Amino acid sequence: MHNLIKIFLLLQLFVFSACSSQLDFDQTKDLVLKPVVTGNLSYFDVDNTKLIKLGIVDRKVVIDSVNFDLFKGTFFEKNMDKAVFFYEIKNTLNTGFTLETQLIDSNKQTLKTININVPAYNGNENIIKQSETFDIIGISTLLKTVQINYKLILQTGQTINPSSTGNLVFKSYADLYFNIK
Amino acid sequence: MRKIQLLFIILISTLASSQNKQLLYNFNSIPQSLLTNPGTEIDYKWHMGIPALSGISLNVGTSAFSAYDLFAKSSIDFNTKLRTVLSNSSSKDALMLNEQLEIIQGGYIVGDSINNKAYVSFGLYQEFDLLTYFPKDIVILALDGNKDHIGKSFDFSHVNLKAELISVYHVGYQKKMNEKLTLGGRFKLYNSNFNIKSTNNKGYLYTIPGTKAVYEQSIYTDLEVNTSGIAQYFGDDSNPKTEVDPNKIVQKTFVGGSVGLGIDAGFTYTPLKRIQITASVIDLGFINQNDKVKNYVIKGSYQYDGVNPDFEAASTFENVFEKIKEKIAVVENDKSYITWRPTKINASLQYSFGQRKSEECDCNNSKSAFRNDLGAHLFLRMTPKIPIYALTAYLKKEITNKLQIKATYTIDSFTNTNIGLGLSAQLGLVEFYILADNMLSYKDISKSNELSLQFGINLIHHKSQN
Repeated sequence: MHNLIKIFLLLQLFVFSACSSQLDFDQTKDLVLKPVVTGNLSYFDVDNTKLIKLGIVDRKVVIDSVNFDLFKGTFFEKNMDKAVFFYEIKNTLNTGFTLETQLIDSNKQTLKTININVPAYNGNENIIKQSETFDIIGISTLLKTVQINYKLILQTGQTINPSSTGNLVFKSYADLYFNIK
Repeated sequence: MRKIQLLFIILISTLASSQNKQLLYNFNSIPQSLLTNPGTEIDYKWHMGIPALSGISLNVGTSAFSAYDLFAKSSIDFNTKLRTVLSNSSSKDALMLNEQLEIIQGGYIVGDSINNKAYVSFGLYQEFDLLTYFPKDIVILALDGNKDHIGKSFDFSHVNLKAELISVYHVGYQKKMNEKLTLGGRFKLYNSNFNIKSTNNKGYLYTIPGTKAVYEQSIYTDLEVNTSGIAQYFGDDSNPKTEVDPNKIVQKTFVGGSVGLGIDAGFTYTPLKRIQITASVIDLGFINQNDKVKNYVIKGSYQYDGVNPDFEAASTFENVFEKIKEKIAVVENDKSYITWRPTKINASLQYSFGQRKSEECDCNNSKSAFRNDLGAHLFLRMTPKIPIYALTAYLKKEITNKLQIKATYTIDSFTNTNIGLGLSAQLGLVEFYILADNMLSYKDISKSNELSLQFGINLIHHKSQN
């Protein structure tokens, strides 16, 4: 009977004295999520027929506004470190433009204006690429933005020819850098 | 972020195993073996578990990584370790935890002890069960975002989780039909303390190069999270609670939750003197979750092309982001739902050897005429994905009338080096048992992928005792 107890105690000892490397569950506090999210910003494709119809010949400018209140709210304020906007314009119209992009806050105030110079097409590839980085300082501008205005302006001395072919294609996307602790 | 951390700890630190009880199964000197097969052959006049000490079982483990991989104290940054774990895991990796605490158990023979052919057993135990698959694509999305994964479709079906705390009232009955066959059944009444279930999810999110805009971005969700009995612990959005009141858990252990019904069934068949075949189905049942139900449904789709100007003065000033929120909205409801218990299936084939001396053999009871059993045991647990299996080879040996041991070698979904050892010893009416799995991992349990431990104390009056 004593042997029996000994065996039983031995097995218990073995199980309950099992070793374990030291674990530190507090490490989850060090968890930092740093995802980079990319997404479309805006896109448009206009040809000379549409631009003439929209009145660019007389007014020298066409304008549109889009609602862009993605960044309002505390999530982006707390967790977004940086954002980079990428613009790409391909112009095959033999007319030069300036694309003016305005970031507007909820009081209709212009927070930032980004100008892109788009030269006239001269037979060679005519793609303009530009980017705008909103880092520690610039990010606050972005967080206040609720609207983006796009102004396509005829450059001084430029005209638009109703019989010319081609178009102007604008594409843009944004990379958003998060730091979630 | 605190909630994410909490969820993370729950998901990853409490990983565990298949709920396989290969050591207990067929170990018929331990009354708790009746809970793995109500048709297991026993030779008791009566038995009674020591309340709250008769059966404590804990299974821990994971198929992809160990607690050590993530939580070892080292100079390596936690985020680096997480990435290593991520690269070594797939969405088929299961993470499980099962804990059972027997509150009471007892049983007695029906009729006289010589000619009896039936045994009634009953009890109450509490069980916590968690099963989750590694939500790989969600973790990738949270860690990396989509920037470096253009062309990848993030699969939302990777969200697959169920967890519950229940108490089980049970009454079992077994009958020896003839010399060769014993049949048993158990009726179970479940009282669910809480339940969380999110298992049949569908959906995707992808970003691919676009033909017009820079990207073609599309999201489709068909996700549902059902919860029952949770609100009392965590409150609601307007009144969140950060501390869980343990008294409430205890109160609801016995009554007051959602109710369900289930059965166990099993048999022992001895076609030849030395050959024994057994099989059982455990927890074939359901719970009607209707206690403080809160379900969250996210159903919708959207293709995001950007926020695009058209320069038309008459065009509407559309808010694209509001539209996305509308299309992929979280809708809450309080409809009751059914959960199926994780059904387990056992089967074994056993060969006995080492015949007792004639004076040791009490021919009037069901005690085997052999001291040793060599067998194979198959275990299956039904899951939302493929069943979890375990195949065990075992040797059960009676050292003395009062001491039996069982050794097992198991191959399963988690490990193929699982050696288990169990012991049942009786001193007078008092029986102790301890069953430990994965003995090789006890040298450093934090590195183990699977671990299970069961122990307890019972009072047993065998037929051979006066």
